[in-house]
Amino acid sequence: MSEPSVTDAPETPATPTELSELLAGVHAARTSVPVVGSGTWLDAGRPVTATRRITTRGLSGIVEYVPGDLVITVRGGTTLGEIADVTAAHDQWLALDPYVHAGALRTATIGATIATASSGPLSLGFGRARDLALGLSFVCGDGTPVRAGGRVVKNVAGFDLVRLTTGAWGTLGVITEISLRLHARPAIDESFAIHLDWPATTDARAAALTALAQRLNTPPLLAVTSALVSLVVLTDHATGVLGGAAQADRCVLLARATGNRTRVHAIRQALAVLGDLVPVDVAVWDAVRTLESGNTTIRSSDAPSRMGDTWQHVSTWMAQHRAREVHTIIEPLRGALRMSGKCADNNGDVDSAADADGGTGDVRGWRLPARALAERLPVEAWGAQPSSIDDVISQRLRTTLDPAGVLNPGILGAHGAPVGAA
Amino acid sequence: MLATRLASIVGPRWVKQRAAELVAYDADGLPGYHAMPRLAVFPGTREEVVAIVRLLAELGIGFVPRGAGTGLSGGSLASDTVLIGMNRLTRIVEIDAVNRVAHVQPGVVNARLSRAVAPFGLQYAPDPSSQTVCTIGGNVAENAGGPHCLKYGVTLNHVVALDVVLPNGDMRRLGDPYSEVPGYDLLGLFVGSEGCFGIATDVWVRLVPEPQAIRTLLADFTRLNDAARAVSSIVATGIVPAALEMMDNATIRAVEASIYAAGYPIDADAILLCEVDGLEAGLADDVALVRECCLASGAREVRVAASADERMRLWQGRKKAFGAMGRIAPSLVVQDAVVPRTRLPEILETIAGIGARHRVQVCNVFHAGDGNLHPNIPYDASDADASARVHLAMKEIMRACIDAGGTITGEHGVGLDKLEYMPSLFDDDSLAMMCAVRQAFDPERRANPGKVVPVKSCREWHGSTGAKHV
Repeated sequence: MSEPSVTDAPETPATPTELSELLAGVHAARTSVPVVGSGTWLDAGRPVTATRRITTRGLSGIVEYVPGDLVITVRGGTTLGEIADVTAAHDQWLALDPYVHAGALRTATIGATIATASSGPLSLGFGRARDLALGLSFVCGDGTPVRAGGRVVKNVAGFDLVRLTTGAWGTLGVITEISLRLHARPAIDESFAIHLDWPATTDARAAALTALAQRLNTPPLLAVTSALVSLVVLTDHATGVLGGAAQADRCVLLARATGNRTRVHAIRQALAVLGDLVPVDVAVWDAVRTLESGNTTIRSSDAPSRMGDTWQHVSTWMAQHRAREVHTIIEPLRGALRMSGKCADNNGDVDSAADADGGTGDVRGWRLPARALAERLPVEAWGAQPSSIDDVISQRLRTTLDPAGVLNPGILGAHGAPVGAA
Repeated sequence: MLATRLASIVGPRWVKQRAAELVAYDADGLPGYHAMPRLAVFPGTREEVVAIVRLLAELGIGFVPRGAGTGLSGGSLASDTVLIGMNRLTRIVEIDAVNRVAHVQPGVVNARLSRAVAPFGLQYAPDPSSQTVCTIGGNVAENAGGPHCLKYGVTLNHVVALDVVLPNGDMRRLGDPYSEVPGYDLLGLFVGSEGCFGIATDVWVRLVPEPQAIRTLLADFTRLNDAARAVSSIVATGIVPAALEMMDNATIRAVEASIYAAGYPIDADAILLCEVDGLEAGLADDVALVRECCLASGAREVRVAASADERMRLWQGRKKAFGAMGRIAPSLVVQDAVVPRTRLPEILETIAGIGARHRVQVCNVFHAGDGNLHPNIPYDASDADASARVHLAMKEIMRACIDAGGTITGEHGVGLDKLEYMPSLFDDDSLAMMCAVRQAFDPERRANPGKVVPVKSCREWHGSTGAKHV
């Protein structure tokens, strides 16, 4: 798989109609376009091949915001920073905090966040992108504008094209407008860290993680953990967010509690059975969200009772690919984790990285473990990932919404080449 | 011939074809719509479901899956097609308490699941008012809501995986009980597809811990508008009540005159039923704040249920309110529109005006926290003049809700009942796209034909379907 080769300056349509006309032209010419917001997710190495790039940054701004409704409607290219500023003025927030690379905390666009179904630590308390998106307008691959959902918090009118488009990575349409559920800022919002024992061996660490996940997921602690809005466990270099030198042999639980003073106090007392609580500034969450490092980020999830196994599978894979500076963020209530690090990259020696995984000497060495999803990989490694949309229904949907396969071809896996163009 | 072949799959006992048997399936929970199925078949296993759907695919015959038939949109009517009743698939296959996931068959009754997981300190959160009889499969098809969805979310937010039989008889797993899956959110697309994309044979749902403590408040108001303003004021505090329900005077009187009498003040113009739950610690502070919001908005009295019995009684009145309206008149039109929360005071006034103009009695009982209205009109369907006025009033009410930036259905689904309003909500391109998306699952359009999207909106297949449009 070759590197993305985008030669021309990006097209920046200023209205949905301009975008429609642009896509109708692309469709007619059977060319293809990567669609980007601020480009935050594009550099994840996914192999989109095209010559013209479309950016949604021209489609930005607030369309409607009635604070009393706790709903905001914005154009797709609006940045998370703009939304945060506008809502903060009314003591509200969009409780969606996607993991992004440093510097993109404010510049990432809402369109890309929804298109990639990205979320972050707050998903524990407020749900993920699919739970917060109420309505969408998007332009299909042939330029047809479509509206789905609405501006109200509850809506079952018609088939749920909002869910379909959320997480489709722009392969079904370009999002031009989004209505989102907001939340009122709680009176109290406190974060704290608990340093946990982190044994020396991999096996013992896996066992410790499983035990921790089970404990957090069952009574009596469950009543408390399910009242938190964020709870993550950081290991390896990720512990560096707490200041001081990051240490490979540390393990820290980070929690965020909101509500009234009495409740937050009770939560802190209950969690103290796990260890001493150290108050931390709420800004720590921005540091957690931008922890990604290197050229590889993998997500994996399974039952919380198999937390240790999930961690071990991804850790082993990372070790086999000689990953350095590994950062691990674990969400024990979901049984999920994100691990990133610097693997042997395309400028180095992919072959020897592959050798470490069986000596095949080709890209198959980059095949991820079961239940793992790639978020960022060296360009070569994408070629080893199976398409996530090669089943009959997904292919039919792709052909329906983007008949010529012009939108982000290849972004959902190796076989996601233009589907209608053949 | 068809009956014989179906009987060879499920046994003759589970194929119904006599009119006297089929009449039980000629309507759902919404009065006013009737259609006889060609026949009804009741599979007892997942394999039998597959075999039935394969046979129907081979013969090119349409079908309608049906749970308990408590739907309120006419969605499970099978006009001259085959009705597939899922009521025999009632097994709770597995309760994984540690990971808080339950695997159930689609015919499991909603409330039975919550009872089964209660010993583990868990609950299945979505609680449609019909929860004592409605099935999980039907909940999935309709993306059912309920009073407690304000805090806990609707069915979509709780289903983690489905095994579905596609209309051609192929099996497909959507989502995963424990893992994030890559690719399109076909699970999210399937939930709420009203039986038009296939039949779920196995459902995995997320369970949530039962709250440590619950407080239920009853606030009564002498003006409906004050109650509506209290709703916005409560939500603005940042407290997310587990439920926030409103009932108007007509509804209060209907409930209090029925066997579900809950002790609501019958001279109140409106009552709010507000529930807060979660950790015991801090709950009293939330209660105090909610009370303050109600009083500041003009509540006459705010009382907190003193016992579990009193709480149950307050809720019983709310959940059986639709039934209580049966005392007023034999028929009932039920609506399910949603408006932005801040438009509630204005829309309630508009609805009252429309009711007065058409001389119909509107009973409002609804999920105020979500802005999800249920303006219901009891009437006598045998009175042609009254029926006509009711229909006109409903049309105007729906129009007003759409104009206020709302939608035509928050939790009941489109089915047949709201088909006529779809074009006022979505443009032609968007409706045509919905049809096309449905075709990805059901190219022959045999699953629950004629529902959700008006046939005339479906460009490529305009007029090509053999299904009868009721």
